[in-house]
Amino acid sequence: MGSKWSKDDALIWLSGGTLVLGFLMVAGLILVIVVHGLGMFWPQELTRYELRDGRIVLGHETSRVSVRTTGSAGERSVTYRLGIRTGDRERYPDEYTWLEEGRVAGRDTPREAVVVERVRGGDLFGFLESFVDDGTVVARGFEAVRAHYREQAPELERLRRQRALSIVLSSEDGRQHSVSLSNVQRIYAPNEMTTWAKVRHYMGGAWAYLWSPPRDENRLGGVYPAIFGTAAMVILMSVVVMPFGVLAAFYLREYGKPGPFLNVVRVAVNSLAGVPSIVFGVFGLGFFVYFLGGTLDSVFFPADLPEPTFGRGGILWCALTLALLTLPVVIVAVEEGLAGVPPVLREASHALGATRFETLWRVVVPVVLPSILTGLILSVARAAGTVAPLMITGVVAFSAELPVDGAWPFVHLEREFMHLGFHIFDTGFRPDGGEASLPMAYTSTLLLLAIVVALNAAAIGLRSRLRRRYSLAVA
Amino acid sequence: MTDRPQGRRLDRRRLLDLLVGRLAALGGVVLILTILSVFAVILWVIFPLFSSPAEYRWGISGPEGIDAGYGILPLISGTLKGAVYTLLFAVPVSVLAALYASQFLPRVLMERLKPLVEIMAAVPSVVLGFIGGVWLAPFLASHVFALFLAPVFISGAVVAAFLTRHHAPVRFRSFNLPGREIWLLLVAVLAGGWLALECGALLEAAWLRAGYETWFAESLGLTFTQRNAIVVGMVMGLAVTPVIFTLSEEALSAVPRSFLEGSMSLGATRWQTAVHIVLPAAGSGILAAVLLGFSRAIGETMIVLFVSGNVPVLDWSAFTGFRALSASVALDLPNAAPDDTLYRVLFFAAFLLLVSTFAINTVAELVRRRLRRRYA
Repeated sequence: MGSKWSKDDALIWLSGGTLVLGFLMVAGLILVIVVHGLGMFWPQELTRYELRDGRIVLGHETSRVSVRTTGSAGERSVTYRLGIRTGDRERYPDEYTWLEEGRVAGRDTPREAVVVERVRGGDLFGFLESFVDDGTVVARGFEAVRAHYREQAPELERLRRQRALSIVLSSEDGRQHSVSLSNVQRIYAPNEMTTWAKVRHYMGGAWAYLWSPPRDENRLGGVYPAIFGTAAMVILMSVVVMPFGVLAAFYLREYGKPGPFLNVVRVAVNSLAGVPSIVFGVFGLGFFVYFLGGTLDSVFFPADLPEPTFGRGGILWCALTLALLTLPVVIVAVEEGLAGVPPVLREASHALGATRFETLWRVVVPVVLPSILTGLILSVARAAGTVAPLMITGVVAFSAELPVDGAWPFVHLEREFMHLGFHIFDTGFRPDGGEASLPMAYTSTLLLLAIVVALNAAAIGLRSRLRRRYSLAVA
Repeated sequence: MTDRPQGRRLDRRRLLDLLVGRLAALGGVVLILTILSVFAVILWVIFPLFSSPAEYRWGISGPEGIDAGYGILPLISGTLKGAVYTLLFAVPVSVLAALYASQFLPRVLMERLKPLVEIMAAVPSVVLGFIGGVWLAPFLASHVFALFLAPVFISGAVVAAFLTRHHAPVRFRSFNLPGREIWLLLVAVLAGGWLALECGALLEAAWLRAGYETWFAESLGLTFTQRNAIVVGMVMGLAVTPVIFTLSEEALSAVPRSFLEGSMSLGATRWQTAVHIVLPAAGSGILAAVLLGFSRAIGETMIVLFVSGNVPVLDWSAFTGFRALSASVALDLPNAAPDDTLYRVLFFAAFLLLVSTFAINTVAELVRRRLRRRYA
């Protein structure tokens, strides 16, 4: 290596640095999502903080923030504040509290501290006192109560109905809570769990997250209705968008005669692709919900008016709105596939006397089928990640009903529904700064990201395989 | 079989062919009708606004009967503010990166990067917005000095990495294989970022009397909010970077090789060729890319919703938030009764978004076409 180097080479490196920087920033943000999102189900050990003033707080640390202060004499000091998740919403609004680290006199992790997950009202942290059966105490102390609870657990459903079972829990400051067993989701003692037990707890938590409905204003529980709603809406949208997208692509590449009309169609596709998603939502509200929905109501459901049936946001209108949004995606993907079909194939088919449609159906379509699939996957990925237009055309933060269920007519197109992306918005953007729902938001974000990335990776893989096949065929 | 009339069979085949052809044309017609009806429906709703006083459309504080602060003007200013800060971050990063990728990165590596860029482009904006608002904004708000140091330190670390490799002993020659520098760059950028964080903490210890908010107010006389234009610029910048990068890279790669060869044979260095020959030649393509990024930033909703703070203000400070047209529509339209003035004003906001993005995209498309024709 010569030691002569020019400024120019350093500048090349700097431009390379920007490329790396861009990737690193996205990778960093994704890493944050992955770490936070995966951490949600891991049982956190409970710490008992004893403060100098005698107060005792039980919880787990979630953050440590430095606070700068300047005294009257100008002396500077840095103190640290600990963000502690404490559970028990009655005592700590938002289930969090801040502790000055300097005022913590001691901390320990008592083996017997338990987490009681309640169906309603959030988590409680504390110590098991007694097990009460119809007013009589049948067990006392951590081991006995737990043994009793475990013994009864298999029959809990039956017992709950027959007798008023409850568990008495004392919080760290000695206060007693009586929790009815019908309100208990799960009890566990994180401080005495082995790693294996924690892994099992984690798996159970992840499973429950995917397959159970939300509890407690989306702060706890699962996202099953949101996953279901997203899937139902996306399927509905695909049914609408695929035929139109494929037909339009056929027109652009196969049937359309070059001329002003074809150009206008092309301009229309380009313009449609450039319309911001929120504008589609506004259009969906004005046209689908109020105009189409209102008309449907006055024709088919006049008895229910003024209570709207279709004349308000619903899954059908969301699906149609997103169909418009993803139409260009399908068209572009199918067009690319059509452009890649070697002309030899078409020419051979025409030479054998086939009409354009026969050529299309028997020769071209089988070849571009993977491209159509690519278009479908890409449009589904796009639709699953788009939230803004749905916010005004029928998505809700919580819905007790699924858009498809056992009640006649089984598919309820007019219903409002839950959506995974909107679930992120709802749990991650609470005006009161609701820290308590953030773990849930991180996990949903991770889930949505994983779905969208997986779909896109599948589409990219499919397309590159396709390209390789053509390049071989042409060569 | 043979006695079946040949003519009828042919007719049926032709009929089917004709029918499908018409159907496909119908698909095209539906497309045109769709884009027209988007314009028509929105215009239909906002039409009554035009017969009402102009303040209803443009007012700063909003007409009576509408929530105060419902002037469109602060929202327009907010949307533009967000888009401008986005471009301030995204254009240097993506154009320089595209220049590097098209001129100095081995083709093989570029082919491997492409799917990554595509996946970056597909990350839903609600994901970026969430992580930007909930994690990045608080993080940056407590590391402001580090944020300002980062560009300097990262550049320094990259140059240091370059010098290290340049002066490395011969036995580390495998480092010099083309493309290998990417790994060294990775380490350098990370190290630069880490150094910036550490030095930022030192500066904080030396200068900061209380939090950053007080420091900004006392030392600079500025308001500082956690959700501010810088964070929006970074997060939305990351969202539009793949768009600008991909299109710029396309334009830069389309510059004929003869340009490069001519320049190099006259003694220009690779960097001089890239900056003075390739960049201007691809200029209109890059302009189109930037315009498309701009229109993306204008219409983006979820990111501004999470990160901008949604407070309507009329200033352009980097350290305050804003409220954008798109965010207002998403937040307030669900609560607006149809045929209400608020409803129409929000449709007017959407109309502004539609018309501006339509105009920008059209200009970008025309610029791109001209470029393609030139080098075709």
